[in-house]
Amino acid sequence: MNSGEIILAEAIERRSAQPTSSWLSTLVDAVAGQVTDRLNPILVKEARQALKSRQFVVTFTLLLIAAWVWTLFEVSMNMPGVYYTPLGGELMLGYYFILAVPMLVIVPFTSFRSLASEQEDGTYELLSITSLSSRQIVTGKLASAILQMVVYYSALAPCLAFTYLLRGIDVATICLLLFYTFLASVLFSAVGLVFAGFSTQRTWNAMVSVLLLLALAFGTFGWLVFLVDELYDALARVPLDAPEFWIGNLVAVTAYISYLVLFVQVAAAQNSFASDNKSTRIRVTLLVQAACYVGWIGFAFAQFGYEPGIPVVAAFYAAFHWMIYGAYLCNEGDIVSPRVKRSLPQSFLGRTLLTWFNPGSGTGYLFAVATFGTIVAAFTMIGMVVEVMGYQQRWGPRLDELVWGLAFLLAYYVAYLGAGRILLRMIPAWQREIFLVPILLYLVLLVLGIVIPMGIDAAVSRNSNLDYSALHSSNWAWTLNEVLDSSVPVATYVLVLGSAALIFLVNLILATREIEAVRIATPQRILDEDRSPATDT
Amino acid sequence: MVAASHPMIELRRLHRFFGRTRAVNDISFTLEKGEVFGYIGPNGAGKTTSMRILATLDLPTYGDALVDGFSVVTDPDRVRKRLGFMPDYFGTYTNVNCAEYLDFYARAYGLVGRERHRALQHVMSFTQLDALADKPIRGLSKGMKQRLCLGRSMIHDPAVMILDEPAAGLDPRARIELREMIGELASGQGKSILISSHILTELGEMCDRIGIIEKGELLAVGKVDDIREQMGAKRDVRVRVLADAEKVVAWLQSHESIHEVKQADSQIYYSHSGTRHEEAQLLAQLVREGFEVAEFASHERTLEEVFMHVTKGIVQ
Repeated sequence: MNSGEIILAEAIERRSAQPTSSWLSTLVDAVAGQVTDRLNPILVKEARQALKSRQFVVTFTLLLIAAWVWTLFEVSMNMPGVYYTPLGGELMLGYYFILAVPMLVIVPFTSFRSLASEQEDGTYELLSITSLSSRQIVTGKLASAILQMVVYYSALAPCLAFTYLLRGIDVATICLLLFYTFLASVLFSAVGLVFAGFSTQRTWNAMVSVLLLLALAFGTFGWLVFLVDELYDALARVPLDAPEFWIGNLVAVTAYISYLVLFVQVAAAQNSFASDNKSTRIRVTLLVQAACYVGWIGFAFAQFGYEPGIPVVAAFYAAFHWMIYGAYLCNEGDIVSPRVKRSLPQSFLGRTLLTWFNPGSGTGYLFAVATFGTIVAAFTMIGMVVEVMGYQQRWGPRLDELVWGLAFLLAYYVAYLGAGRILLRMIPAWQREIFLVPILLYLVLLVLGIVIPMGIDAAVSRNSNLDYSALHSSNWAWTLNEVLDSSVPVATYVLVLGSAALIFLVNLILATREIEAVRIATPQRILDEDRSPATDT
Repeated sequence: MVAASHPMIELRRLHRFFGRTRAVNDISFTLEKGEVFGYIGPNGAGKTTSMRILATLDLPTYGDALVDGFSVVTDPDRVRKRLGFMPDYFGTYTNVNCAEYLDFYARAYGLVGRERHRALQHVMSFTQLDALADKPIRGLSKGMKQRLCLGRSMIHDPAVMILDEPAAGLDPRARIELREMIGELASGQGKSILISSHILTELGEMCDRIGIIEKGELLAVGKVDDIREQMGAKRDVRVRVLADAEKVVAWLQSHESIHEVKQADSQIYYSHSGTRHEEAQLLAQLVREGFEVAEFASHERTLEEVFMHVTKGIVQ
């Protein structure tokens, strides 16, 4: 008999001992106990807290009041047309705006505050020394956010049913709207949890809160504009039996899942113990995401008429994306902890293929460069397919321009990311822990690369109309534009590609110690204990 | 049950630097099963830092700390299973009552079903919180919150407990009750306890050994009596004579084992670094010299006096 069965049996036995209590409620308690045993403890705690929370009660009440007011207003304004005019779509839009505020702002911000306040009050430390992993803590917080979303949805469920009865909107549209809003809310909550990891220092707390609120407000506004302008009309127009519609949805959901998993991994890594492996899972997620991205672009390429402009735009987005994550990876510590060393790859093949997944800024840099390089190579191949297959292009560069453009993009990525990594190593570790430091450093570096040559050129030529020359080789924006027009001097090729190769070499040498790290043996006592977990001293 | 062949706590040349500040500077000591170890030092001495490292909340700059033979650096998850940490702050939640709070931590430590119910019952009964199970935490007194936090730290029945200033701010009754609980945990349940406190008299009574730390360095470690010995085994002596107090002072100052001689009217105070036997001989000699000794009293230095003697009050 397992422990759950024992409790159940005890609960039933207690029935005779407690004649005043209901047999059914005792049984429900026992079953609920068994169910909650399998749930994340954070979810159980947060649910208990939320039920007593004033904020939750106030939000829930306001949501109901707003929904009722909107219903009465809309129905009374359309009387007596409500009996014969389809009003469902209009009413639904109102309900949707009412729902968007708690779903897209309040729930994500509550998730952020929930984790941030654990850190402020010191309760996170107490949690971190329990058996819960940082991933369990983060997913528990996310599950708690989902629970709140479900409660808000259930509050508006009668109203949503009412919109269907009024006609003008079908069930599929309602479900898709709610589904995508749910996804957006979960993603925003995950972003909130990532932001909470930035606010471990009290001095940054207020700024991080403001930044998150701005981001949520911007995200909510963007989502509503997208929904009203594009999706809502599109849902009414697009036949739900069109395969393209569902393929598009599949791409959107795949992209969504990759970002959600990534944010959860980042939030968990931020809150894990200093000697833990904070990086490998993130890198695996990034790699899978990169593979999906190339797949999505390939799909878009096939879907929208083989335009070579697509890989250019996609490569620029990938460069932006990988610059942010490259900065994050290059900011990792240089020392591989003994704990991590126990799980390093050991075989020749393993060391060759998996070393780039080991934590450390050097391997992080090489991983980012290798992955971005692969993306660029894939996009170059797509461009070649266009040329070889002789598809007629409507917009975008020629093949040679595309190849050189992508090569320069990769070179700039290698050079700026590498230069930033070298500079980051000069900053004391405790200063690097401040979340804005690496981002600001890379931002300054990228801006200086543009501003310095322009300043020198303007000072020397005393002319406001500057012409492109090799002096502007560090100006990535101008040079890339010129390369795509085949109009850069040879010296620029030498300077850009040569500096990228040099910076890559320096970083490779600096990463030697990380690459050379080898597995250390796990003590016999640990192995014994793993074999028989019940054994204890 | 496998007998432990290693100390329950071991600090091996532990260092923790924050920039140029050496919060913990080369500290080593061990703690055996069932032992209560008092960690004493002024504010900023490095007590909390070393306790946080042991609790797997921080990493050492150099050196290592082991709990039941497991390193806090390489095996923090195994250390956590064996360790209960009660920090110098409460770390409680809003909108949660005592039973829910303990139940949450029991779940967080992986206790399920009957095991969790049993642990909750034991802890609530041990900390005498049964009657307050449904009371919101925010309504608890400081003493009750301390009990709750002690309960939280022992909910998973750890072999080692680290208590950082558990008696701070408690009234005398609550302090005595807490002391009794800690005594029961060590002697009754065989837990090894590392405890820091500013209330030195209580530490002296409940600890098997103490360690005195200042400016990140361990100045003395051992049993209170042993440390007294290490400090030179001095005892403070008070003598009252009926006449010739100045002559007695001069006579005492001529002896090598006598230090810090002071006179206040007929009372003379000095410290004696010899044994009790030598002290008795000195008294006999004093009487033989013809001095009229009316009172003679000596006492060993208290833990507070030893602490004041060993430390210099340096704050980093």
